[in-house]
Amino acid sequence: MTNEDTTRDLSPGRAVSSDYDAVVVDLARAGDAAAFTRLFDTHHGPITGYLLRLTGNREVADDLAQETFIRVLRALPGTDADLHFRPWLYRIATNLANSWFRRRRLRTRLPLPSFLLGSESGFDPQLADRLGEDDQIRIAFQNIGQTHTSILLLRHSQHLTLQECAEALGISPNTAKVRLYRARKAFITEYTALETSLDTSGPSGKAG
Amino acid sequence: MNRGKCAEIQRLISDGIDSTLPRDVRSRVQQHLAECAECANFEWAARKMGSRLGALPHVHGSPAVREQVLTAVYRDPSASPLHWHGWIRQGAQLAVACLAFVVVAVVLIAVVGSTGDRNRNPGSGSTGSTTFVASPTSTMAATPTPEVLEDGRERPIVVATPTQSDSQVPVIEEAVPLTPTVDAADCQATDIHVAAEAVGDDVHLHITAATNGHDCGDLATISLIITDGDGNGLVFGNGSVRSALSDELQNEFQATFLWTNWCYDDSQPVVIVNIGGPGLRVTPEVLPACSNTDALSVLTMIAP
Repeated sequence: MTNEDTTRDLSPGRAVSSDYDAVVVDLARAGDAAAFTRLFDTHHGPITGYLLRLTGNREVADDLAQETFIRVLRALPGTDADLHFRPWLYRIATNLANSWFRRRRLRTRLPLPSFLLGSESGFDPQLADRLGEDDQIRIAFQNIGQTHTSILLLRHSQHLTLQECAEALGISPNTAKVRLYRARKAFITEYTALETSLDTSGPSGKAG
Repeated sequence: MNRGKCAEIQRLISDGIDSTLPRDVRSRVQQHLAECAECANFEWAARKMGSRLGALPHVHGSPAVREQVLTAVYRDPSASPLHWHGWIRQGAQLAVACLAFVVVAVVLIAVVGSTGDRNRNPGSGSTGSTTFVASPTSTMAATPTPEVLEDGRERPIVVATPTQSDSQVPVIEEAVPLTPTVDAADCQATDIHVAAEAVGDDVHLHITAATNGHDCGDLATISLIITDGDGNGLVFGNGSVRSALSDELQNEFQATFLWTNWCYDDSQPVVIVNIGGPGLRVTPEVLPACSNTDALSVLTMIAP
Protein backbone atom coordinates (compact mmCIF):
# COMPACT_ATOMS: atom_id res chain seq x y z
CA MET A 1 0.00 0.00 0.00
CA THR A 2 1.41 3.34 -0.94
CA ASN A 3 1.74 6.20 1.44
CA GLU A 4 -1.02 7.98 -0.41
CA ASP A 5 -3.34 5.00 0.01
CA THR A 6 -2.64 4.87 3.71
CA THR A 7 -3.48 8.52 4.10
CA ARG A 8 -6.66 8.05 2.14
CA ASP A 9 -7.83 5.14 4.26
CA LEU A 10 -6.91 6.33 7.69
CA SER A 11 -7.56 10.03 7.63
CA PRO A 12 -10.12 10.71 10.34
CA GLY A 13 -13.48 11.66 8.99
CA ARG A 14 -12.38 10.74 5.49
CA ALA A 15 -15.29 9.60 3.38
CA VAL A 16 -15.40 5.87 2.95
CA SER A 17 -15.55 4.08 -0.37
CA SER A 18 -18.03 5.25 -2.93
CA ASP A 19 -19.67 1.79 -3.00
CA TYR A 20 -20.34 1.95 0.71
CA ASP A 21 -21.55 5.51 0.35
CA ALA A 22 -23.91 4.43 -2.42
CA VAL A 23 -25.52 1.77 -0.25
CA VAL A 24 -25.98 4.14 2.65
CA VAL A 25 -27.31 6.83 0.34
CA ASP A 26 -29.85 4.37 -1.10
CA LEU A 27 -31.04 3.51 2.41
CA ALA A 28 -31.22 7.15 3.45
CA ARG A 29 -33.10 8.00 0.27
CA ALA A 30 -35.64 5.31 1.14
CA GLY A 31 -36.25 6.97 4.51
CA ASP A 32 -33.84 5.10 6.78
CA ALA A 33 -32.99 7.64 9.50
CA ALA A 34 -30.09 5.54 10.80
CA ALA A 35 -28.54 5.55 7.33
CA PHE A 36 -28.91 9.31 7.14
CA THR A 37 -27.20 9.57 10.51
CA ARG A 38 -24.35 7.47 9.18
CA LEU A 39 -24.07 9.70 6.13
CA PHE A 40 -24.07 12.76 8.35
CA ASP A 41 -21.40 11.39 10.66
CA THR A 42 -19.20 10.44 7.72
CA HIS A 43 -19.33 13.80 6.01
CA HIS A 44 -19.99 16.28 8.81
CA GLY A 45 -16.33 16.83 9.74
CA PRO A 46 -15.01 17.08 6.16
CA ILE A 47 -17.81 19.44 5.12
CA THR A 48 -17.20 21.63 8.17
CA GLY A 49 -13.46 21.67 7.42
CA TYR A 50 -14.11 22.58 3.80
CA LEU A 51 -16.44 25.42 4.75
CA LEU A 52 -14.14 26.61 7.51
CA ARG A 53 -11.18 26.92 5.15
CA LEU A 54 -13.35 28.48 2.48
CA THR A 55 -14.91 31.13 4.72
CA GLY A 56 -12.22 31.44 7.38
CA ASN A 57 -14.87 31.60 10.09
CA ARG A 58 -15.79 28.69 12.35
CA GLU A 59 -19.20 30.01 13.30
CA VAL A 60 -20.13 30.60 9.69
CA ALA A 61 -18.77 27.17 8.74
CA ASP A 62 -20.98 25.51 11.36
CA ASP A 63 -24.04 27.43 10.21
CA LEU A 64 -23.42 26.57 6.58
CA ALA A 65 -22.70 22.94 7.42
CA GLN A 66 -25.99 22.70 9.27
CA GLU A 67 -27.85 24.28 6.37
CA THR A 68 -26.08 21.96 3.94
CA PHE A 69 -27.28 18.85 5.73
CA ILE A 70 -30.78 20.20 6.23
CA ARG A 71 -30.94 20.72 2.47
CA VAL A 72 -29.60 17.25 1.89
CA LEU A 73 -32.25 15.88 4.24
CA ARG A 74 -34.98 17.61 2.25
CA ALA A 75 -33.68 16.91 -1.23
CA LEU A 76 -32.22 13.42 -0.95
CA PRO A 77 -35.51 11.49 -1.25
CA GLY A 78 -36.17 13.15 -4.59
CA THR A 79 -32.77 12.32 -6.10
CA ASP A 80 -32.10 9.68 -8.71
CA ALA A 81 -30.52 6.35 -7.88
CA ASP A 82 -27.38 7.21 -9.83
CA LEU A 83 -26.69 10.31 -7.75
CA HIS A 84 -23.01 10.99 -7.13
CA PHE A 85 -23.45 11.86 -3.50
CA ARG A 86 -20.15 13.52 -2.58
CA PRO A 87 -20.01 15.94 -5.51
CA TRP A 88 -23.69 16.72 -4.92
CA LEU A 89 -23.06 17.33 -1.23
CA TYR A 90 -20.11 19.61 -1.92
CA ARG A 91 -22.08 21.43 -4.58
CA ILE A 92 -24.75 22.31 -2.03
CA ALA A 93 -22.10 23.42 0.44
CA THR A 94 -20.24 25.46 -2.18
CA ASN A 95 -23.42 27.19 -3.34
CA LEU A 96 -24.27 28.09 0.23
CA ALA A 97 -20.76 29.43 0.78
CA ASN A 98 -20.99 31.46 -2.42
CA SER A 99 -24.27 32.92 -1.22
CA TRP A 100 -22.64 33.81 2.08
CA PHE A 101 -19.73 35.52 0.30
CA ARG A 102 -22.18 37.45 -1.82
CA ARG A 103 -24.23 38.61 1.17
CA ARG A 104 -21.08 39.58 3.02
CA ARG A 105 -19.78 41.60 0.09
CA LEU A 106 -23.04 43.44 -0.17
CA ARG A 107 -22.79 44.41 3.48
CA THR A 108 -19.19 45.42 3.65
CA ARG A 109 -15.95 45.13 1.84
CA LEU A 110 -13.50 43.41 4.10
CA PRO A 111 -9.91 44.52 3.69
CA LEU A 112 -7.31 42.03 2.63
CA PRO A 113 -4.78 41.12 5.31
CA SER A 114 -2.63 44.09 4.48
CA PHE A 115 -0.72 43.71 7.73
CA LEU A 116 1.28 41.04 5.97
CA LEU A 117 2.06 42.89 2.81
CA GLY A 118 4.80 45.16 4.09
CA SER A 119 5.57 47.88 6.57
CA GLU A 120 3.76 50.49 4.53
CA SER A 121 0.61 48.46 4.93
CA GLY A 122 0.94 48.20 8.66
CA PHE A 123 3.00 45.03 8.80
CA ASP A 124 3.29 43.65 12.30
CA PRO A 125 6.56 41.73 12.65
CA GLN A 126 5.57 40.21 15.98
CA LEU A 127 2.38 38.89 14.46
CA ALA A 128 4.32 37.55 11.50
CA ASP A 129 6.62 35.65 13.78
CA ARG A 130 3.68 33.88 15.35
CA LEU A 131 2.21 32.81 12.05
CA GLY A 132 2.20 29.09 11.43
CA GLU A 133 1.94 27.24 8.16
CA ASP A 134 -1.83 26.90 8.52
CA ASP A 135 -2.11 30.65 8.89
CA GLN A 136 -0.08 31.21 5.74
CA ILE A 137 -2.32 28.82 3.86
CA ARG A 138 -5.41 30.55 5.22
CA ILE A 139 -4.14 33.97 4.17
CA ALA A 140 -3.12 32.69 0.75
CA PHE A 141 -6.64 31.28 0.33
CA GLN A 142 -8.11 34.61 1.31
CA ASN A 143 -6.00 36.40 -1.27
CA ILE A 144 -6.73 34.11 -4.20
CA GLY A 145 -10.51 34.26 -3.71
CA GLN A 146 -13.09 31.59 -3.07
CA THR A 147 -13.36 30.40 -6.67
CA HIS A 148 -9.78 29.19 -6.66
CA THR A 149 -9.83 28.20 -3.02
CA SER A 150 -12.84 25.96 -3.41
CA ILE A 151 -11.38 23.89 -6.24
CA LEU A 152 -8.02 23.52 -4.47
CA LEU A 153 -9.74 22.38 -1.30
CA LEU A 154 -12.02 19.98 -3.12
CA ARG A 155 -9.15 18.43 -5.05
CA HIS A 156 -6.42 18.29 -2.42
CA SER A 157 -8.05 18.44 1.01
CA GLN A 158 -11.32 16.67 0.28
CA HIS A 159 -9.67 14.31 -2.22
CA LEU A 160 -12.33 14.60 -4.88
CA THR A 161 -11.32 13.44 -8.32
CA LEU A 162 -11.13 15.92 -11.17
CA GLN A 163 -14.50 14.68 -12.45
CA GLU A 164 -16.03 15.01 -8.98
CA CYS A 165 -14.61 18.52 -8.63
CA ALA A 166 -16.28 19.43 -11.91
CA GLU A 167 -19.59 17.99 -10.72
CA ALA A 168 -19.33 19.71 -7.36
CA LEU A 169 -18.74 23.07 -9.03
CA GLY A 170 -21.18 22.58 -11.87
CA ILE A 171 -18.54 22.95 -14.56
CA SER A 172 -17.10 20.73 -17.27
CA PRO A 173 -14.01 18.61 -16.56
CA ASN A 174 -12.03 20.68 -19.04
CA THR A 175 -13.00 23.86 -17.25
CA ALA A 176 -12.07 22.22 -13.95
CA LYS A 177 -8.64 21.41 -15.37
CA VAL A 178 -8.06 24.97 -16.44
CA ARG A 179 -9.37 26.33 -13.17
CA LEU A 180 -7.15 23.99 -11.18
CA TYR A 181 -4.12 25.10 -13.13
CA ARG A 182 -4.91 28.76 -12.54
CA ALA A 183 -5.74 28.15 -8.90
CA ARG A 184 -2.44 26.35 -8.35
CA LYS A 185 -0.53 29.12 -10.01
CA ALA A 186 -2.34 31.79 -8.00
CA PHE A 187 -1.85 29.92 -4.72
CA ILE A 188 1.83 29.30 -5.36
CA THR A 189 2.35 32.96 -6.20
CA GLU A 190 0.56 34.14 -3.06
CA TYR A 191 2.13 31.58 -0.78
CA THR A 192 5.63 32.24 -2.09
CA ALA A 193 5.14 36.00 -1.73
CA LEU A 194 3.94 35.46 1.80
CA GLU A 195 6.94 33.34 2.69
CA THR A 196 9.29 35.86 1.16
CA SER A 197 7.59 38.67 3.04
CA LEU A 198 7.91 36.83 6.34
CA ASP A 199 11.52 35.86 5.68
CA THR A 200 12.59 39.40 4.90
CA SER A 201 10.49 41.31 7.41
CA GLY A 202 10.19 39.09 10.44
CA PRO A 203 12.08 39.90 13.66
CA SER A 204 13.99 36.66 13.44
CA GLY A 205 15.69 38.05 10.36
CA LYS A 206 15.58 34.86 8.38
CA ALA A 207 16.48 36.65 5.20
CA GLY A 208 20.08 36.98 4.44
CA MET B 1 12.74 31.19 -21.43
CA ASN B 2 9.85 30.86 -23.84
CA ARG B 3 6.89 32.26 -21.89
CA GLY B 4 4.28 30.70 -24.16
CA LYS B 5 5.91 27.30 -23.99
CA CYS B 6 6.34 27.56 -20.23
CA ALA B 7 2.65 28.32 -19.81
CA GLU B 8 1.78 25.26 -21.85
CA ILE B 9 4.22 23.06 -19.94
CA GLN B 10 2.96 24.30 -16.58
CA ARG B 11 -0.59 23.56 -17.61
CA LEU B 12 0.50 20.04 -18.55
CA ILE B 13 2.25 19.71 -15.18
CA SER B 14 -1.00 20.67 -13.49
CA ASP B 15 -2.94 18.16 -15.61
CA GLY B 16 -0.37 15.51 -14.72
CA ILE B 17 -1.10 15.96 -11.02
CA ASP B 18 -4.74 15.04 -11.58
CA SER B 19 -4.40 12.39 -14.25
CA THR B 20 -1.84 10.39 -16.12
CA LEU B 21 -0.37 12.13 -19.11
CA PRO B 22 0.36 10.21 -22.32
CA ARG B 23 3.90 8.90 -22.49
CA ASP B 24 5.01 11.24 -25.28
CA VAL B 25 3.61 14.27 -23.46
CA ARG B 26 5.33 13.20 -20.24
CA SER B 27 8.66 12.91 -21.97
CA ARG B 28 8.19 16.32 -23.59
CA VAL B 29 7.49 17.81 -20.16
CA GLN B 30 10.50 16.09 -18.62
CA GLN B 31 12.73 17.31 -21.39
CA HIS B 32 11.55 20.87 -20.81
CA LEU B 33 11.95 20.60 -17.05
CA ALA B 34 15.57 19.61 -17.47
CA GLU B 35 16.21 22.91 -19.21
CA CYS B 36 13.83 25.32 -17.46
CA ALA B 37 14.28 26.21 -13.80
CA GLU B 38 11.05 28.19 -13.63
CA CYS B 39 8.90 25.27 -14.76
CA ALA B 40 10.82 22.88 -12.53
CA ASN B 41 10.12 25.20 -9.61
CA PHE B 42 6.46 25.31 -10.56
CA GLU B 43 6.25 21.52 -10.59
CA TRP B 44 7.98 21.28 -7.21
CA ALA B 45 5.77 23.95 -5.68
CA ALA B 46 2.55 22.50 -7.13
CA ARG B 47 3.27 19.05 -5.73
CA LYS B 48 4.36 20.47 -2.40
CA MET B 49 1.18 22.52 -2.24
CA GLY B 50 -0.91 19.42 -2.91
CA SER B 51 0.84 17.59 -0.09
CA ARG B 52 0.37 20.48 2.31
CA LEU B 53 -3.30 20.90 1.56
CA GLY B 54 -3.81 17.16 1.75
CA ALA B 55 -2.25 17.09 5.20
CA LEU B 56 -4.35 19.86 6.71
CA PRO B 57 -5.64 18.75 10.09
CA HIS B 58 -9.05 17.15 10.30
CA VAL B 59 -11.82 19.40 11.54
CA HIS B 60 -14.41 17.95 13.87
CA GLY B 61 -18.00 18.86 13.25
CA SER B 62 -19.84 20.79 15.90
CA PRO B 63 -21.86 18.62 18.33
CA ALA B 64 -24.50 21.37 18.38
CA VAL B 65 -24.91 21.11 14.61
CA ARG B 66 -25.15 17.35 14.88
CA GLU B 67 -27.87 17.66 17.47
CA GLN B 68 -29.81 20.18 15.38
CA VAL B 69 -29.67 18.15 12.19
CA LEU B 70 -30.40 14.79 13.71
CA THR B 71 -33.19 16.24 15.81
CA ALA B 72 -34.83 17.18 12.54
CA VAL B 73 -34.63 13.54 11.54
CA TYR B 74 -35.58 11.79 14.76
CA ARG B 75 -37.66 14.12 16.95
CA ASP B 76 -40.81 13.89 14.88
CA PRO B 77 -40.42 11.18 12.26
CA SER B 78 -43.75 12.08 10.70
CA ALA B 79 -42.47 15.58 10.03
CA SER B 80 -39.16 14.42 8.61
CA PRO B 81 -38.72 14.92 4.89
CA LEU B 82 -37.33 11.42 4.78
CA HIS B 83 -40.65 10.23 6.10
CA TRP B 84 -43.16 12.31 4.23
CA HIS B 85 -41.33 12.18 0.97
CA GLY B 86 -41.38 8.41 1.15
CA TRP B 87 -45.05 8.61 2.00
CA ILE B 88 -45.67 10.82 -1.00
CA ARG B 89 -43.88 8.36 -3.20
CA GLN B 90 -45.91 5.49 -1.80
CA GLY B 91 -49.06 7.56 -2.13
CA ALA B 92 -48.19 8.38 -5.72
CA GLN B 93 -47.62 4.73 -6.47
CA LEU B 94 -50.91 3.85 -4.79
CA ALA B 95 -52.70 6.53 -6.79
CA VAL B 96 -51.24 5.19 -10.03
CA ALA B 97 -52.32 1.68 -9.05
CA CYS B 98 -55.85 2.90 -8.27
CA LEU B 99 -56.02 4.75 -11.57
CA ALA B 100 -54.82 1.69 -13.41
CA PHE B 101 -57.49 -0.36 -11.66
CA VAL B 102 -60.20 2.13 -12.57
CA VAL B 103 -59.06 2.24 -16.20
CA VAL B 104 -58.95 -1.55 -16.42
CA ALA B 105 -62.33 -1.81 -14.74
CA VAL B 106 -63.89 0.71 -17.15
CA VAL B 107 -62.37 -1.05 -20.14
CA LEU B 108 -63.52 -4.44 -18.87
CA ILE B 109 -67.01 -3.14 -18.28
CA ALA B 110 -67.05 -1.68 -21.74
CA VAL B 111 -65.71 -4.87 -23.29
CA VAL B 112 -68.13 -7.02 -21.34
CA GLY B 113 -70.88 -4.68 -22.37
CA SER B 114 -69.80 -4.91 -25.97
CA THR B 115 -69.60 -8.69 -25.79
CA GLY B 116 -73.00 -8.76 -24.20
CA ASP B 117 -74.24 -6.56 -27.02
CA ARG B 118 -73.01 -8.95 -29.60
CA ASN B 119 -74.01 -12.12 -27.80
CA ARG B 120 -77.23 -11.27 -26.17
CA ASN B 121 -78.33 -7.76 -25.86
CA PRO B 122 -76.38 -5.17 -27.83
CA GLY B 123 -75.01 -2.36 -25.72
CA SER B 124 -75.48 -3.98 -22.37
CA GLY B 125 -73.74 -6.19 -19.84
CA SER B 126 -75.14 -7.95 -16.85
CA THR B 127 -74.14 -8.33 -13.23
CA GLY B 128 -76.57 -9.67 -10.74
CA SER B 129 -79.92 -8.18 -11.18
CA THR B 130 -78.75 -4.88 -12.62
CA THR B 131 -77.73 -4.20 -16.19
CA PHE B 132 -74.91 -1.74 -16.96
CA VAL B 133 -74.57 -0.20 -20.35
CA ALA B 134 -71.92 1.96 -21.77
CA SER B 135 -72.30 5.67 -21.84
CA PRO B 136 -74.52 7.11 -24.54
CA THR B 137 -71.50 8.99 -25.71
CA SER B 138 -69.67 5.75 -26.31
CA THR B 139 -69.48 4.24 -29.73
CA MET B 140 -70.66 1.04 -28.09
CA ALA B 141 -73.81 2.70 -26.96
CA ALA B 142 -76.98 1.38 -28.45
CA THR B 143 -80.53 1.53 -27.47
CA PRO B 144 -80.73 -1.11 -24.76
CA THR B 145 -83.52 -3.57 -24.73
CA PRO B 146 -84.49 -4.53 -21.21
CA GLU B 147 -83.86 -8.18 -20.42
CA VAL B 148 -86.94 -10.02 -19.25
CA LEU B 149 -86.29 -12.08 -16.15
CA GLU B 150 -87.88 -15.43 -15.35
CA ASP B 151 -90.46 -13.83 -13.11
CA GLY B 152 -91.55 -11.64 -15.97
CA ARG B 153 -89.99 -8.43 -14.59
CA GLU B 154 -87.60 -6.44 -16.68
CA ARG B 155 -84.02 -6.15 -15.35
CA PRO B 156 -83.45 -2.51 -14.41
CA ILE B 157 -81.13 -0.62 -16.72
CA VAL B 158 -78.49 1.73 -15.32
CA VAL B 159 -76.90 3.98 -17.87
CA ALA B 160 -73.23 4.62 -17.16
CA THR B 161 -73.01 8.29 -17.94
CA PRO B 162 -69.58 9.94 -18.09
CA THR B 163 -68.83 10.13 -14.42
CA GLN B 164 -66.23 12.31 -12.75
CA SER B 165 -63.78 9.44 -12.56
CA ASP B 166 -64.30 8.58 -16.23
CA SER B 167 -63.59 12.09 -17.38
CA GLN B 168 -60.57 12.48 -15.07
CA VAL B 169 -58.76 9.38 -16.15
CA PRO B 170 -57.16 10.74 -19.31
CA VAL B 171 -56.47 14.06 -17.62
CA ILE B 172 -54.62 12.40 -14.81
CA GLU B 173 -52.71 10.27 -17.25
CA GLU B 174 -51.59 13.38 -19.03
CA ALA B 175 -50.52 14.86 -15.70
CA VAL B 176 -48.01 12.07 -15.21
CA PRO B 177 -45.17 12.07 -14.11
CA LEU B 178 -46.49 11.96 -10.60
CA THR B 179 -42.94 11.73 -9.34
CA PRO B 180 -41.24 15.06 -9.96
CA THR B 181 -38.16 13.66 -11.61
CA VAL B 182 -37.03 15.78 -14.49
CA ASP B 183 -34.34 14.70 -16.82
CA ALA B 184 -31.68 17.33 -17.38
CA ALA B 185 -32.39 17.18 -21.08
CA ASP B 186 -35.94 18.37 -20.41
CA CYS B 187 -34.75 21.32 -18.44
CA GLN B 188 -34.29 23.80 -21.24
CA ALA B 189 -33.85 27.47 -20.67
CA THR B 190 -36.39 29.42 -22.63
CA ASP B 191 -35.96 32.98 -21.53
CA ILE B 192 -32.67 34.39 -20.37
CA HIS B 193 -32.23 37.99 -19.39
CA VAL B 194 -28.77 39.25 -18.55
CA ALA B 195 -28.38 42.79 -17.33
CA ALA B 196 -24.93 44.17 -16.63
CA GLU B 197 -24.37 47.04 -14.30
CA ALA B 198 -21.19 48.86 -13.37
CA VAL B 199 -21.02 49.47 -9.62
CA GLY B 200 -17.79 51.14 -8.69
CA ASP B 201 -14.98 48.86 -9.79
CA ASP B 202 -17.32 45.89 -9.95
CA VAL B 203 -19.51 44.64 -12.70
CA HIS B 204 -22.74 43.11 -11.55
CA LEU B 205 -24.44 40.72 -13.92
CA HIS B 206 -28.06 40.13 -13.00
CA ILE B 207 -29.34 37.04 -14.71
CA THR B 208 -32.89 35.78 -14.68
CA ALA B 209 -33.91 32.66 -16.46
CA ALA B 210 -37.05 30.65 -16.97
CA THR B 211 -37.35 27.07 -18.11
CA ASN B 212 -39.85 25.45 -20.39
CA GLY B 213 -42.43 24.82 -17.70
CA HIS B 214 -40.57 22.02 -15.98
CA ASP B 215 -39.89 22.07 -12.30
CA CYS B 216 -36.16 21.73 -12.62
CA GLY B 217 -35.59 21.63 -8.88
CA ASP B 218 -32.06 20.80 -7.97
CA LEU B 219 -30.98 20.70 -11.59
CA ALA B 220 -31.21 24.44 -11.79
CA THR B 221 -27.95 26.24 -11.68
CA ILE B 222 -26.75 29.33 -13.36
CA SER B 223 -23.06 29.53 -13.91
CA LEU B 224 -20.96 32.10 -15.61
CA ILE B 225 -18.03 31.20 -17.75
CA ILE B 226 -15.63 33.45 -19.53
CA THR B 227 -13.99 32.09 -22.61
CA ASP B 228 -11.08 33.44 -24.53
CA GLY B 229 -13.48 34.51 -27.23
CA ASP B 230 -11.95 32.24 -29.82
CA GLY B 231 -13.68 29.13 -28.58
CA ASN B 232 -10.31 27.65 -27.65
CA GLY B 233 -11.32 26.04 -24.42
CA LEU B 234 -13.22 27.50 -21.57
CA VAL B 235 -11.44 29.81 -19.24
CA PHE B 236 -12.97 30.69 -15.97
CA GLY B 237 -12.33 34.16 -14.72
CA ASN B 238 -8.97 33.64 -13.10
CA GLY B 239 -10.43 34.55 -9.75
CA SER B 240 -12.21 37.49 -11.22
CA VAL B 241 -15.65 35.94 -10.95
CA ARG B 242 -16.34 36.52 -7.32
CA SER B 243 -19.75 35.04 -6.78
CA ALA B 244 -22.20 32.70 -8.38
CA LEU B 245 -25.53 32.44 -6.71
CA SER B 246 -28.36 30.24 -7.81
CA ASP B 247 -31.76 30.63 -6.26
CA GLU B 248 -34.06 27.77 -7.02
CA LEU B 249 -37.52 29.06 -7.76
CA GLN B 250 -39.25 26.11 -9.38
CA ASN B 251 -38.97 27.05 -13.03
CA GLU B 252 -37.61 30.54 -12.68
CA PHE B 253 -34.10 31.29 -11.58
CA GLN B 254 -32.04 34.28 -10.72
CA ALA B 255 -28.36 34.77 -10.20
CA THR B 256 -26.08 37.68 -9.67
CA PHE B 257 -22.42 37.62 -10.52
CA LEU B 258 -19.87 40.14 -9.44
CA TRP B 259 -16.37 40.57 -10.59
CA THR B 260 -13.82 43.29 -10.59
CA ASN B 261 -11.28 42.34 -13.20
CA TRP B 262 -13.43 42.65 -16.26
CA CYS B 263 -10.60 42.25 -18.77
CA TYR B 264 -9.07 38.87 -19.02
CA ASP B 265 -5.84 38.26 -20.86
CA ASP B 266 -6.79 41.05 -23.27
CA SER B 267 -9.30 38.76 -24.86
CA GLN B 268 -12.85 39.28 -25.92
CA PRO B 269 -14.97 37.88 -23.11
CA VAL B 270 -18.03 35.80 -23.79
CA VAL B 271 -20.71 35.04 -21.28
CA ILE B 272 -22.40 31.70 -21.28
CA VAL B 273 -25.32 30.85 -19.05
CA ASN B 274 -25.92 27.25 -18.13
CA ILE B 275 -29.25 26.01 -16.97
CA GLY B 276 -29.44 22.46 -15.76
CA GLY B 277 -25.85 21.55 -16.37
CA PRO B 278 -23.55 20.77 -19.27
CA GLY B 279 -25.13 20.72 -22.69
CA LEU B 280 -27.81 23.24 -21.85
CA ARG B 281 -25.80 26.23 -22.73
CA VAL B 282 -27.48 29.29 -24.00
CA THR B 283 -26.17 30.85 -27.16
CA PRO B 284 -23.18 32.99 -26.20
CA GLU B 285 -23.55 36.70 -26.30
CA VAL B 286 -20.45 38.73 -26.94
CA LEU B 287 -19.85 41.47 -24.43
CA PRO B 288 -18.08 44.70 -25.18
CA ALA B 289 -14.33 44.66 -25.48
CA CYS B 290 -12.35 45.02 -22.31
CA SER B 291 -11.63 48.67 -22.83
CA ASN B 292 -15.28 49.50 -23.26
CA THR B 293 -16.37 49.02 -19.67
CA ASP B 294 -18.68 52.02 -19.78
CA ALA B 295 -21.01 50.14 -22.05
CA LEU B 296 -21.58 47.61 -19.31
CA SER B 297 -23.62 50.02 -17.31
CA VAL B 298 -26.33 50.05 -19.93
CA LEU B 299 -25.80 46.64 -21.42
CA THR B 300 -28.78 44.35 -21.46
CA MET B 301 -28.73 41.09 -23.28
CA ILE B 302 -31.58 38.80 -24.05
CA ALA B 303 -30.54 35.42 -25.27
CA PRO B 304 -32.88 33.22 -27.27
